[in-house]
Amino acid sequence: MSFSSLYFWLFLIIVLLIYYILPQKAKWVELLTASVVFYLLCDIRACVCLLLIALMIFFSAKILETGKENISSKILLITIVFMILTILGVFKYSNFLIDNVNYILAKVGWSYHFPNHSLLLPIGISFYSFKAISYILEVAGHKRKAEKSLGKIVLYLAFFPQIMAGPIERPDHFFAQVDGVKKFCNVEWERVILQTAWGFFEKLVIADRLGILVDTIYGNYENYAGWQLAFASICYTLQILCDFDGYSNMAIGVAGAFGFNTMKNFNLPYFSLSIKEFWGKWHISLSSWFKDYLYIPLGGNRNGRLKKYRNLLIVFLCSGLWHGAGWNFMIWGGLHGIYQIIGDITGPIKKRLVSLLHISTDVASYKLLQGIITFFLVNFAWIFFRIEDMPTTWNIIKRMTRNFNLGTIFTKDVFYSMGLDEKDFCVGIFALGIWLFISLMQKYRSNLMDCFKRQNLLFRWIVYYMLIFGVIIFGVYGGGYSASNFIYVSF
Amino acid sequence: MQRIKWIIKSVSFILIFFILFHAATGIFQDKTCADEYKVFWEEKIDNYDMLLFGTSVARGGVSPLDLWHDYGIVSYNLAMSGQTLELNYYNIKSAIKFRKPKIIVADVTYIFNSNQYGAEERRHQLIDNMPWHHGKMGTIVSMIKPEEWKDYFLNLFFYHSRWKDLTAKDFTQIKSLNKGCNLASFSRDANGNFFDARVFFSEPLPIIPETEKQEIPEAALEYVRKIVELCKKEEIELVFVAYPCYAWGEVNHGDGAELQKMWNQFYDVAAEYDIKYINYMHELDRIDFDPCEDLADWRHLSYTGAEKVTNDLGSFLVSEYGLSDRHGDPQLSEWDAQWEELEEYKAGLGRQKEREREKIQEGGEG
Repeated sequence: MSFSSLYFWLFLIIVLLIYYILPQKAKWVELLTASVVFYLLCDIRACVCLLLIALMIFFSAKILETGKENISSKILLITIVFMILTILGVFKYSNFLIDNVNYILAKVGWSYHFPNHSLLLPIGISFYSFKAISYILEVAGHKRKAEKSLGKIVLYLAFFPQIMAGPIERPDHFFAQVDGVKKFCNVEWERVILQTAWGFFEKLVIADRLGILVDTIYGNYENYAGWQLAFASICYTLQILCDFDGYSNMAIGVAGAFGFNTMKNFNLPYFSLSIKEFWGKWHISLSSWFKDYLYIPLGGNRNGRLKKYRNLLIVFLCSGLWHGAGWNFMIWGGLHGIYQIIGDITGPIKKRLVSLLHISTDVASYKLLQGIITFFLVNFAWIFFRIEDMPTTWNIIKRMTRNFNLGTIFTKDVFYSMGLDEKDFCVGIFALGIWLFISLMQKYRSNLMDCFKRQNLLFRWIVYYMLIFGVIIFGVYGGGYSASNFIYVSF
Repeated sequence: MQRIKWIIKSVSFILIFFILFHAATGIFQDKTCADEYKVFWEEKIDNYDMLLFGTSVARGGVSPLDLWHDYGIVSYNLAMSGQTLELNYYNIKSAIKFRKPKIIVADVTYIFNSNQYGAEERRHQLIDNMPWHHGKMGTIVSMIKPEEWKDYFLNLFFYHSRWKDLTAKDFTQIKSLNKGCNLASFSRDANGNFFDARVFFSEPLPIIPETEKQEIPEAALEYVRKIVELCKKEEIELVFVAYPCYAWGEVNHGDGAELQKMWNQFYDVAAEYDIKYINYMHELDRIDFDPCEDLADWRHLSYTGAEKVTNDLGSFLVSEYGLSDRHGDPQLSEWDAQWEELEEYKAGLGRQKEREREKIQEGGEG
């Protein structure tokens, strides 16, 4: 049951109505029930997994909270974290591991072939297992108290607006809100509507439309010129942001309807001037999780350059692996790690050059150049993220560089031969124009929402309706109507 | 006070949303057959002599305004393209809740069809044009799987992708020139070329003797039975009709022989349930049917063919059921003017047909 399913909205309306009818103390129980029902409807077997992790962190947190920081509590902590990662690993990474072992065995001439398992990956496991780890680490580090109610732990892990694709909320931020007073009239409904609708716009109108083009080109890359492959890679770069950010905005909007304030997950990452800045703005809940629970515990940048680079590489390889079980994700993560290391190494040289050549760094043109370079570095790495098998990735990159064939750009209707017809292509461009305009507004007006809320009601409502109906009409969704089936050939 | 203001704002927002949603649905909904069909629900006549149901063959084959002009019969053509017998059943059920006629004329063209409910688009064509207060809800619940209900209750989500195909017609007021009937002069092929029946029907239609029969699929027979039972229960006379055609898609083995055999088999079905049945494939000479002029394409009647079938059907209804001429009924004062408008339209069709033929001849000579 995804956000774009009508049944989700029916479910949401019912849950919301009951939520605001119930007394304050019962609200979280209803939310817990709704979250469990939602998860059961999505994946009945995966509930066992979620419940197991919830029980593990609930009881171990009780022990860790009362005990002193001694060897046994450290062993308990490591065991729990290891068990959570094992559960995640069994479902998500074991087949990847088996494939690699089989590959090595075949290379050394051993004929035995370990079979793959057919376990389905429980929905949201990557998100709630990280939430569980952050909870147990916070309690073990005495940064917060253990939760007294198992129900609230389950709610933290399974909170239905966030379970499918995050954001990975921190326990402090979440639990502080569970018992807060929630009144229907106190909810910022206009913000809820706008953020949710904007999320849908990003996902259904932009990302899914660009997805058609990207799938078409990458699916038949031999038939396209190098510039078209480069164009597809840029489209994918935009698609993945609109997809992730769209989903996050929907999750934040829906959680907002229950009076929950959710952390921002994306903050205009493609306007970053460096890779380091990019990672402060991309999937913020995940990158800050890695920073707090992996990079800093590994020593961060405290123990010399070499160890800093080692830590950076570990973090980014893990980040890549978190996104998917495949070498392409590892390469994607590794590339970002290398980008950062090179950036760090060349930083002083760059500064010296800038100084020697009297280059002004505080001007728009310099920043634009920095932004473009960062964008294309990120864009290049996304190619590895998008295409699973390495030979294809290599062929696409080769074709991009050796067979650019820019002359074909002047061929008639060349832009409409990439999976989108003329009308869809124009709608996609127009929607991207709106998205860019709004992004620039967000960049240069720190609080766009407050600015928007100061506008007259008529203007605001027109914007809401245009956005909602824009999504309903121009969104790419549903099997839908097939014009060819309707056209009555004879008449 | 603040709370009341808030409630008013919320209710207004939701209300405006639904008004806009309804308006957008009207624009985006496919209009195939909708014009003629929807007008029926706006008609003020409460005592029809006959309602006609069926496929596009029936839709372009029986002209209610000609029945009115020639016999004073008050009728409406509710046939739609691609309607299976199952869909016909629900169409009849919904229509007679609204206006109960003396006679129902149903079409056996799709008797060969064993796919329940037919194509999704055809189901939409029927259900989406039904008004909510005349059994639409019941039809959806009976016919449609629960997981597809959303596409019928909130059908903008189904039609939204039509934004690419919108034309001026989608924004104009609907009207019906001929009480649901859509007369044709000729058809065009996929390339837009004129279909000149004279080129294709230089020989008489191959007619399969009545004695040669073929089994009718049970799925279709089940709904024939349901239609019969419904009409008996509502005390409505029922006539089944097989219209002249050359061949039919799914059973098109050269000359449509299988379909004709099923139509022959239907004589037995009609006898079993004691209902009237006209198979025009065996009445072609009697009605002076000329395939070159009277067929618009392989399947459908041209306006001249429709005139012949309409005339014969009218005569049958009058003689069989004693329908009286209702000219002079004040409720129907506009029908004569509407018939005159139709005549002008038919004359236009004739001129258009001749022009196309001239073009073909000029091309041939050149």
